[in-house]
Amino acid sequence: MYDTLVWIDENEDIQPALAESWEIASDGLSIVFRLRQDVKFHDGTPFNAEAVKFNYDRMLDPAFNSRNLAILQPIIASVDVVDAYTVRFNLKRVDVNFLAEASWSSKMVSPEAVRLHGAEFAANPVGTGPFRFGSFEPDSHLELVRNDDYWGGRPYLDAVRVRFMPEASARIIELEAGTVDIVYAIPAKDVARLEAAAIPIEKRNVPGFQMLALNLARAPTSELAVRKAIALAINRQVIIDQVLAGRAELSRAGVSRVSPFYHDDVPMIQHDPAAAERLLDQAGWVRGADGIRRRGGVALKAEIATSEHEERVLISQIVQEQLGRIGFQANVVTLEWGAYLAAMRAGNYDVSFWSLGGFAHRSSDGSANMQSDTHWNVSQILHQPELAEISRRIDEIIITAGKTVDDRTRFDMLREFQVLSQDHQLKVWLWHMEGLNAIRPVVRDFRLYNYSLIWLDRAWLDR
Amino acid sequence: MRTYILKRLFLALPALWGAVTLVFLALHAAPGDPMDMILPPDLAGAAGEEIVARIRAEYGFDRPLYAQYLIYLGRLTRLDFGRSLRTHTPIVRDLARRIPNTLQLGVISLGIAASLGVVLGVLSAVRRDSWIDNSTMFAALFGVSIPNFWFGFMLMLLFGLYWRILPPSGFGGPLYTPEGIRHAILPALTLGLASAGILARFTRSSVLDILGEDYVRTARAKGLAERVVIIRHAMKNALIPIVTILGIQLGAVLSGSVIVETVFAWPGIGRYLVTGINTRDFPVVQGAVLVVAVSFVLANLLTDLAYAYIDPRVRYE
Repeated sequence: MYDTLVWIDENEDIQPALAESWEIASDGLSIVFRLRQDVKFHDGTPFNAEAVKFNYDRMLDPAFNSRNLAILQPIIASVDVVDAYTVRFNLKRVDVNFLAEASWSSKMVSPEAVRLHGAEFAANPVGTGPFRFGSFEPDSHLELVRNDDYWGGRPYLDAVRVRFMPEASARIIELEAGTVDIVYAIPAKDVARLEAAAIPIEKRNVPGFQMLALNLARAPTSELAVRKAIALAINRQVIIDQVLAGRAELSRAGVSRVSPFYHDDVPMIQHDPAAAERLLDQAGWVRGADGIRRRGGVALKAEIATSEHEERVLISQIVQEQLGRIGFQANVVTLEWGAYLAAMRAGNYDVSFWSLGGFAHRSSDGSANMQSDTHWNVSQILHQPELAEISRRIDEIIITAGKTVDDRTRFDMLREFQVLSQDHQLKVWLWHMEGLNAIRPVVRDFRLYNYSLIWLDRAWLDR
Repeated sequence: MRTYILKRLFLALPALWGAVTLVFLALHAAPGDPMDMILPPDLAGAAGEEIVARIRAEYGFDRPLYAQYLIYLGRLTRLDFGRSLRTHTPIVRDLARRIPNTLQLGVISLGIAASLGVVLGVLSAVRRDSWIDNSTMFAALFGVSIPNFWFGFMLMLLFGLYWRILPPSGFGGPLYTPEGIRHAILPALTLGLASAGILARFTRSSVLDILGEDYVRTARAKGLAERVVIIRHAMKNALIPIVTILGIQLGAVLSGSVIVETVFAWPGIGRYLVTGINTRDFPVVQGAVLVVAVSFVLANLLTDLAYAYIDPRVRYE
């Protein structure tokens, strides 16, 4: 329904969309976009520089409470109309990820429609995209109809119906029955079944990283030897194969192979339970008759916290079992999502599967949400005085890297971050997950927009 | 009669207040922060604590609990349920849109439950220990015992995938359209099955009791046809316990809708409630629970009124 100024193609390159071209000032503090001149909103009003300014002013207005406000407000100072089809963004600070971010947040809505419908705009959305709003039944479906005047050419599909189906099993049944053509986020366990039913699965490496978060401020994970032992004890490949149907790439240090910030000389965690046992022996954790290690009468215990998500529970159970083999007494605690998040942030956990992400692989350097004071950095590093020096250095790297336009310099800086995190085993990097979307073979010529969105402007049905 | 209804409705107020208060307290006692909904993980990180705190204040989450509670009660008396934290739409509008959908499902499933349950129950009683009786009672036991999400998926697999005669899930529009009916069949069957089972068992025992009564023997002795004996004489009296159970089942259908609507992607109150709980959308949960509480009160009232209608001896002053 909406277009963005730019989009990210399958090769992770930023491509023009509503903006034909752009130019970044040499100091990195402003960006000028030149806009397409042949674009109209679905309500017939023209898309131009005024419209872009209107959209950004709206998102930046705290009263509007946009979901993008939190991201845009620290970056954008103001948006100026240069001429009818040229617009300049003045930035508060250099942000190397600004364009990647704009591929998400720059969805352009019709200013006229906003003025007309006010607070009811969401019920009467007007954009510039290949399909316009048809009808909406909350919790049921959204129907989009073809935009005959689409600037990218008239789409082939007459209409697209987006259905909201909370139950994964029901989605799979409908897909097999042919009553839906595309399903997002297929559980890994259903992949084999769907492929057997000749339904191809579109696999994309999703930006972001999965890890075992370790509570740095509380025993036993506050101890480096214990953290190292956990990392060595875990057989990540087994989990990928058994739980994730092989749909993940082993992570080196939180950076996927497809990212330019991937360093193949950063230490990689190896599965070596014998080495883990040696480390624990040296640290004074000795196995008792029951197989559990103790030191000074204290058993080596850890609580693995997880949400109720099926895959995460399974992963936690496997981790529990693998830790058990090196004399670690681990318990899995399953919590409802809200309770889980609260426990994670309060540091009420020892070990937990944790997933964080970025906007693009190109910018994905493993540092997202890793600053010590970030809301979602659950490692409790600020409450661990022994790591104060490391923590300060990491923050410094992340802040400076975010402002560094030169990729080579950033590359080296982020290498130091990855090595630091690995040397001190601040977390156990696990893997980079693939997003699994099922698309029935009758759907042809779709494209992937910003990694995960299936864009149907040129799609057609082969039947 | 009118005063009785009014009195009953008035007495329902404390029950509603209790439900509202309980939900309010439960939501706030449960771990988890509604802020996670308003600002998802990746965004809050970028936003920084300052913005997070400002938004928290905007929604009043920084106020003490009793203040939040009083504000909430005050709004309720004006029928202002607030807006969803997630979609910003007024709750009243969301509810108005979803109540008819749940009602549709409820009416059909109760219809299925009542017709299937009562007919099979009577047949079982009349033909006691026959194959009809045995198989009905077995099926009823089955219906009562199996979890409805499992039964829902089985129906979906059979009718939707293997035979492909009905849409597996989803909402097809209002019931007067063919698509509306086609989409409603499977979820309504799922929802009605358990109630049908319970009703069949109760009807059977109720009718069996009555068939042993003197007046039934008298009716038979007068030489009335068996059909007339059952329908005119026995059923009338057997109805009271059946109506009670039907009233209770109205509640069961409502609570069942929480699961069935989620499985079948049905846009009703049950699903609204589940989404609200999962997303810590406090106003949504409060609004949905209020609807459920009101429905229970109304169902009880209807049941009582039905007694008076069926049995003129029951009088309310």
